[in-house]
Amino acid sequence: MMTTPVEQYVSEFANVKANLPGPALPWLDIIRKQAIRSIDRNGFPHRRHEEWKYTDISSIADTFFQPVQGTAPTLLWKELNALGLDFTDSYPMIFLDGRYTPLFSDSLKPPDGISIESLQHVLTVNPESVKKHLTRFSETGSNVFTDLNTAFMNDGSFIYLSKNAKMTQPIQLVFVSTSQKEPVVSQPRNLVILAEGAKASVVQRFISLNQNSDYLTNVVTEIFLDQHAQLEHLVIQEENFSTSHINTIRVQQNKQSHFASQVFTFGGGLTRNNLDIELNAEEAECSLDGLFMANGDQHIDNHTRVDHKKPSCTSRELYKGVLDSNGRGVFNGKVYVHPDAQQTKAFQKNTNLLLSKNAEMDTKPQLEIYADDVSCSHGATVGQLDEKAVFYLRSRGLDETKARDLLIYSFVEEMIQKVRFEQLRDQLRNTLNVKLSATDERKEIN
Amino acid sequence: MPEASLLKIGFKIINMETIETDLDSVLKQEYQHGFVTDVDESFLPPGLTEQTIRQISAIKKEPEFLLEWRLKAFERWLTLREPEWSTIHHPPINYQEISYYAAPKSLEDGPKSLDEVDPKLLETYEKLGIPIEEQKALSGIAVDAVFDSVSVATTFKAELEKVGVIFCSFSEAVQNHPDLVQKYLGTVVPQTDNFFATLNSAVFSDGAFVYIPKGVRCPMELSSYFRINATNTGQFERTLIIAEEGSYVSYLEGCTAPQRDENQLHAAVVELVAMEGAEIRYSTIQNWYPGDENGKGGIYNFVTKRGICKGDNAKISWTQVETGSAVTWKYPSVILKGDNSSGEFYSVALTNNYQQADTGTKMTHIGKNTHSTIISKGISAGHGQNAYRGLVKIAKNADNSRNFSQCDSLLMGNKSGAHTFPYIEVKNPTAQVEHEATTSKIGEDQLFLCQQRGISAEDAVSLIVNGFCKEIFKKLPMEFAVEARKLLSISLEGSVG
Repeated sequence: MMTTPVEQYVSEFANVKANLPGPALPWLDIIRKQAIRSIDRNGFPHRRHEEWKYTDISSIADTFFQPVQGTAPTLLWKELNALGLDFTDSYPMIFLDGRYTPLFSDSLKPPDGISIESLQHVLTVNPESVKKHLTRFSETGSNVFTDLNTAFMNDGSFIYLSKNAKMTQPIQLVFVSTSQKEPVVSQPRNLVILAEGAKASVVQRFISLNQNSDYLTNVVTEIFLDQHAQLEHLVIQEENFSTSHINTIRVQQNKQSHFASQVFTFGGGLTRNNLDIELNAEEAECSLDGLFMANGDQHIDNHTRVDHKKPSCTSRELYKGVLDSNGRGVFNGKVYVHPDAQQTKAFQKNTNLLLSKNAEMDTKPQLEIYADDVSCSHGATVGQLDEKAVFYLRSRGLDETKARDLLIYSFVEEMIQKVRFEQLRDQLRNTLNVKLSATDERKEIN
Repeated sequence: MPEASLLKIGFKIINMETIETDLDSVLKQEYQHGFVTDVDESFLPPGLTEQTIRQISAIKKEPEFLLEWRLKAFERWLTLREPEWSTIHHPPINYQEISYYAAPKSLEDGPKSLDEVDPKLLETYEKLGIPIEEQKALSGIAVDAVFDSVSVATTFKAELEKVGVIFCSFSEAVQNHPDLVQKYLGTVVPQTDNFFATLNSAVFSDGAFVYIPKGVRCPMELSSYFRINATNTGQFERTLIIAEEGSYVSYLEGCTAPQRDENQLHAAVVELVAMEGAEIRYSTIQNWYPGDENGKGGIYNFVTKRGICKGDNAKISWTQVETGSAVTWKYPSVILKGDNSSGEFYSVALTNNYQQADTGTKMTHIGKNTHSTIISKGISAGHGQNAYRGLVKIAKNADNSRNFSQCDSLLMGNKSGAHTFPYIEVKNPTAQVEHEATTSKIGEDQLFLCQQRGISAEDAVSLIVNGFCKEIFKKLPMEFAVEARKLLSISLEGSVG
């Protein structure tokens, strides 16, 4: 009889359990076992689950992806250079299939009060430093992908800033996926803790080393911001079109902390970004920005949830989508205002450009409000380029494609300008150009 | 609310033994000639089985096709489960404790004079400015010749017949126009649609039937209130309105006067069919008993309303003012099948005390150049919970379709809740879809300004809320609009201070 992927994960877990980092840690052992039991019990969600209504993940659920274990091989400079990454003025950490590869370790050292380590290293050397927070924000059973990551948790990053520590350059976590013979799942796990008054920027980048490799990235990031802490968090996803990508970020914010998230999705065949923010104390603020561009057969799903749990918090959200070819976009943003979270301000907007007759956009902004002294709004639009503007540009001598690209560019540029780091803005614009011309070429062929 | 109190109020207590023996003999009878005779036709004992449906159908002397249709729905219903996706919470409903048929009450059973009527109810009538004779009619008292709703309705009927409009109870339509009923019943809301619609399809009691012939502009607003035998249409109402090519009709449902009903569960179905160039305007004022200040009692109102713009250039417009019921669950929708057709949804939903409302609309754009507008105003006071839930779906071939949605919520009191769940699905690159929603507290500065001008807090709230809903009231027929305004003020009583 055929075994199901879920059964395979369960038996794989039994096989590799002893080799996972921190085997001697009873607390971690309990967490892992709970997670695998939860997978066994719940299985993968299907489209009848409200949270997965518009995203069919049967391609993931029907395949057993071998969890990547052990330590990473060294990445060759030449291979890395070929990716054209720019690390000027940043603190990079490179991961190969979810495993840290110590390429720059000799030359780089974070300033005092800041530690940037690989999770595998921390779990081996100083597990006590992560015990309080690791997996604590991710309730077992709430998301099967988080459980899968927790059960097989192997490596990732641990970023800790002590009281008032400030990191001026962005910490760049680059997740490179290599091609494998069998389908594999790389599952980086990140933990970011900012103590009172600390300030940092973290960038997650996802790239594929090969163009046609079939793998799953299932990344989970937990972030804790103490009082007055400030974090900028960027996700830039440029994986190849044959991959699947699940990115889950959970944030807990303390009093007057500030979290700014920017999620850029250009790559991946099937992408699901989950971003959950809990505003746990007064006057915490968060801003969520996102840009997603789907062409080819891409499917990009952005799920966000902001929980206003205490009074006087502010959240602001803007997601923009560009859907072309057979691309499909999903936006599901929920703002939940708990009873007594008075003086809440919450604004949410999702605007989308639908550019092809085979593209589709499904959007669902939601407000769920149980307090009365609030000011909340949301808006969603789906439309297309303004034909008058296209005509204007064409009358100035631009060809149709150029005119349209320029208008798309102006639609998305707002999101790029929100990025504070110039080198990243430039890279984003490059990616955008490549993406636009790729779409144009495809159209010409057709 | 204790479970035991639920849904038990509906039936008269009589000697159970005699019923059982009576029933047993009836149940054992084979189905003959389409009728079951010798049954007490005034009501059926609680319980829902295939026999119950056969009996309802027999009592109503329905043609074979309708019985078959009911039975098919019942078979389907047995496989369904009550939906759980809404924000509404209520104790479980025991469907076997409900009586599924009660004949329209004779006037003799009602109170003999206004002295016997609940004084609270009379007080509300007074505030609404309802004339004394009409108050009597509403309370179910036999009225004298001066105000005889039956004769008023008869006059109307004659006028309607002149232009060929059919306006009658659903049961009458089944007897007199079975072909029309058979042709359109279930074509907009199929039997299989959802739990409550399927239940309705199996057991529906009565309702209204309207047919507007080709090119006819219905000479008056049709109101269910003036329908003959409208005294008790029962809890499972079924309405079917057909507007032939180029016709127009405006239909009013409900009335502002509070309606006390003994049945706690209401599951109505309304189907509208608009042919090419036809226009149907459907206005509802729903003011069923909402339960008391502590959330005890009150009607559960699970309604499926849907219209189809079958032909090109057709138009369907839903306007609703929902202030009653403990639980409101309804999504009046439009399927925009014909090219250039348009759908509208204008709604005011008010929840006070422990009322819950989960309401909204579905606009399904299939034809080209189809337009839809959604304006929804939710007001939550006390412990009231109010949700807008809507779907705008643009199908692949709906070129140049357009939707605009606006959902505003007003909150009063820190125990109330307002929720917005719009679903937008777009598959066409020429479609334009816009949705916006706001939620905020009633303006302190506005309240202050009013009070400073000598307007009491309560009147100020009513003034502000009425301003908030003005857009919707404008869409109601005039006399309805005036009453709706008063109704809103009354429903908000006790929500401030």
